[in-house]
Amino acid sequence: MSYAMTEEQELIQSNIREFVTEHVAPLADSLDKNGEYPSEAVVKMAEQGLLGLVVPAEFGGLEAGYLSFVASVEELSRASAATAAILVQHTVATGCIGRWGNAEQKGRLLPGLASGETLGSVAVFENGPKLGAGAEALIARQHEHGYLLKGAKIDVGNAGKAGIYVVFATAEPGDGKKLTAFIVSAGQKGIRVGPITKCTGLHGYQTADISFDDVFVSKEDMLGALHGGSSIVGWTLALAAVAEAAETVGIVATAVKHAAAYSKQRVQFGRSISNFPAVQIMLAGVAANCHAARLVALDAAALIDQGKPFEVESAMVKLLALNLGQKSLCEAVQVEGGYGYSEEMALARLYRDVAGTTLRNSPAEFPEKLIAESIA
Amino acid sequence: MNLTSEQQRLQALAREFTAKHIIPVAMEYDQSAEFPMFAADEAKKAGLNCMAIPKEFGGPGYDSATQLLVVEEWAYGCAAFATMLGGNGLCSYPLLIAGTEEQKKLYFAPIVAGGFGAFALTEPGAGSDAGSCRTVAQLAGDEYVLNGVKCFCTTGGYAKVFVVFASTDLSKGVKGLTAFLVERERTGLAIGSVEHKLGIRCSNTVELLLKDVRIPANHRLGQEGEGMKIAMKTLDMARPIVASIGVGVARRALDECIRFFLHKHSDGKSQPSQAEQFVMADMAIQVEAARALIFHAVSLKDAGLPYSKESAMAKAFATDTAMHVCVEAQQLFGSKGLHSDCVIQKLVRDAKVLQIYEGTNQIQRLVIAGQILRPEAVKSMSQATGR
Amino acid sequence: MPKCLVCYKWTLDEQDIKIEPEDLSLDSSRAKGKISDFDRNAIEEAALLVEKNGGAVDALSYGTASVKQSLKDALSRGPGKAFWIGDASAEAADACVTANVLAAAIRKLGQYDLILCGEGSSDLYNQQTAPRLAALLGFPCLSFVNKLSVDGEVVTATRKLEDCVETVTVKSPVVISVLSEINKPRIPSLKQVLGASKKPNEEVKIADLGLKPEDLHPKAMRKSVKGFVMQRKNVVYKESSAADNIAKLKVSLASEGLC
Repeated sequence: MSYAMTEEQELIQSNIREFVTEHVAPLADSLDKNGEYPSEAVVKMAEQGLLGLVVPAEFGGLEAGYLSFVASVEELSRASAATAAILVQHTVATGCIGRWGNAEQKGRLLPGLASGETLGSVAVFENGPKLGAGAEALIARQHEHGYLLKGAKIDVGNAGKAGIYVVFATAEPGDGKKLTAFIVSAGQKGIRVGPITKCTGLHGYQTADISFDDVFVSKEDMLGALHGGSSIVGWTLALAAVAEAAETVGIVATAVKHAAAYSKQRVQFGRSISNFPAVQIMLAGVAANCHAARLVALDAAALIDQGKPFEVESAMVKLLALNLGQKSLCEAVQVEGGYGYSEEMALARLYRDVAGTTLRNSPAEFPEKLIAESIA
Repeated sequence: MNLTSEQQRLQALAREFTAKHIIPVAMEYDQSAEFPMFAADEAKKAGLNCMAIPKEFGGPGYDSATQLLVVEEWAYGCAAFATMLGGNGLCSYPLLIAGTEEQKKLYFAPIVAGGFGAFALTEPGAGSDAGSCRTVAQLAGDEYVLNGVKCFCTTGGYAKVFVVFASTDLSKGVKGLTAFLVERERTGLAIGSVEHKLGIRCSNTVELLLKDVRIPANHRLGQEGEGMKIAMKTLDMARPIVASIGVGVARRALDECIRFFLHKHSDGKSQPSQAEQFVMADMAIQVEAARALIFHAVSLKDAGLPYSKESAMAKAFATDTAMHVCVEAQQLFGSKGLHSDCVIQKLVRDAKVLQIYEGTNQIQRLVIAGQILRPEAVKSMSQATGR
Repeated sequence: MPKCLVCYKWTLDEQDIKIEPEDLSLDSSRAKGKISDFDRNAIEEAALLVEKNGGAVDALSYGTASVKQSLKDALSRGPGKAFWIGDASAEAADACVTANVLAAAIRKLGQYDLILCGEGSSDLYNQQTAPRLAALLGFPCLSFVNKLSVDGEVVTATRKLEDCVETVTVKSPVVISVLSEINKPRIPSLKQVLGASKKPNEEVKIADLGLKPEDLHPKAMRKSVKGFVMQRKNVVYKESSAADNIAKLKVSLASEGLC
């Protein structure tokens, strides 16, 4: 195990737990119903310091590390994974710039991201069999002083709300291995954010397709080296997987709590159904798997903080989260029976939210491939 | 599976019905949760609205296998539509089991005419523990007076006739439960709250309120105290139907995956990865196995043999399959499966209820375990091994 | 520019405490610590006063060794420095001992204009700390305070008493105990949480307080603490109609003054 939570990390966790109870939990149900971007909650998160959690102090952040970030994501997700997702998408972009940006980029962009003045987003996926290879792949064509981006990205989170997008384009169409990362300002001419996609869950977290029509990016906005984007996208998706697993864990933790409380007060056959082994097995299985996923996610986050490679561990986290997510909600709803199936009860929203936490940033390859390649 | 030509005809009819009437609008009805009354009218036109009702009462008198084939097709289109259209079977079974000729005539007529029937057993305090019903039926002269609350009554808001389970003697517990035939017009019968559900959203699920509802004594089905027996036999008959809804939903999820991957690799240059292929192969295995188990259960029934265990197995296996297959399908679709206009997210929501209604899959397992752990079962086991 | 001292208690979070159904004994093994609820209001009130009028806030706590766990929490909520006394005597300390120790510590720490604490602690709720402290220190005591302001040396407080609301003015130094309605403690920002570790804390050793052994010996001994489980009345109305049952229930509720 790579970590034990420090006193400070525990204080951050309990502080965010309090914050969530006060400022996020009361909004969760109405957010699900009206699906409007929760700008008030995002402002509060910024005021609390969450948007700059992983940003170095010299750029106005709290430099609290990824373990605290992942723990905070779980706390947020216990109440509203949609709200957590906004922070995750932002922090993945912020972390990406922090890790791969040069001094000029960091100085220029991180303070605004840390304060929440600018919301961040990452645009990775495209329509097509492989990144950089489809008909609509994002191509970067050389231009005076920089590049012109043309193509489209799909399912971009924080779409329309982000001030900057970290995008991955290919300078060699058809070759997904030669990606280059760019930081694109949302106001740049040629960017068109499509209509916000209606999804089954995570209402309030905005995703949309974005098209780029000869969008100019200067050389200064290239993140990392030319053709060096593959390792950056790998790192980015690995970070996203760990954070999203914390979203899954948060949802499942709440689901177990709700189902357990329900089972205690539901009396059938003369006693509370929490006494029946059938129910105990369901709850115990979910609780155990949730606990395991939580620990593995925190462990991967600790590796990031220690500057160690974590992509393989992240793939393991993703695999665990995939197995945890929807299935756990199926079990939790089963415990609550007919009542659990009602939209008036808490589990229905969680049932709809959880898939978004495991599937929204899924690369084409199964996580098993990365894991297998690392052990074989 | 060897289908007769008549079964094949009706399967094709149902498939066509589904393609024409259900698939084009199912997503829309899921979003609005509006009750698809039109589908009942279309089902009547197609002669599919009262499949369980025998010929002598105006029904088509289709055999069990035919009913299963039709319901599977409907479920392929939408589990909510299948629940609604198949519900007339469920609520007809008690009459087939325990109804007199007069009662059958009374009950079947409005259904044959195109109306709905409903089955009211569950109460807020009596879910899996169906025997602990608190709705009471008091004999008063030549009438019964019913008082109580039923919940999760499918299509109750539109039904013309109900089978209501009430206790004629609370002190006898489960042995006091009795089945009754109640017409919608009876004074004191009111529809309560309508459930807003996670899935099968356009299916009507309501609370039924009974306040001093008077019915003639001859509306009692079977004897006082036989209610639980009738309910159990009804569930035996209904479980294969629900199981077929499971198969239809699972089959739909699998077909959507196949369509998805064929489209994705339409350039002919690439193909689904081995991992993706294996997931779909497993789905296909489970769909076939589920269907086979259902038809096995029903063949025992048609042969007049005991089939409670097989019926419970079919229901548990097929609906667990539906849930499992839908979750796997969702995973294969990735982020696209999250979109509201993608049928996969609807299938994941719809499949969940199949594991719950008609007896939760935990109850099914109790039934199965009860059967396999009977002393007689052990006896025949030792006979087989010669020990 | 008032110089404030807030006395707070580090207690167990009661929602983590389980009551054993057989003998009503308490299982606190999984209980986390927290700053006693009303003390949180006291810390917040001091912080608000200082934000408005300038000055400084110190925190002081007397508890067992576990009191060290409270320091960062307290320091994240406004105080600039925390003093702590971690001693085994706190385990069985009654109101007399607590007041003796705190008073001795306060005499050692220096001059404060306002000494604040919560009206009572969330575990024992004796409501004796403030009056005893005031008596030992020879200061006036204002209890049940739900509104507080300071103007130079003059402290004005509103006290919510059982049958009236009283406004009083007093010249500092003064001991004040506050009600929970006085304010809604803000959730510290993460910056404040992380900044707490940079603020100073200082141990005050009980041996250095010049107390006699009998000062540390409780006069009231706690013999046992059991959980309280509300017993339901279990009255069942079995009239023939719902209307009759409701009528009977209404009579019953009215007789208890509930409607």
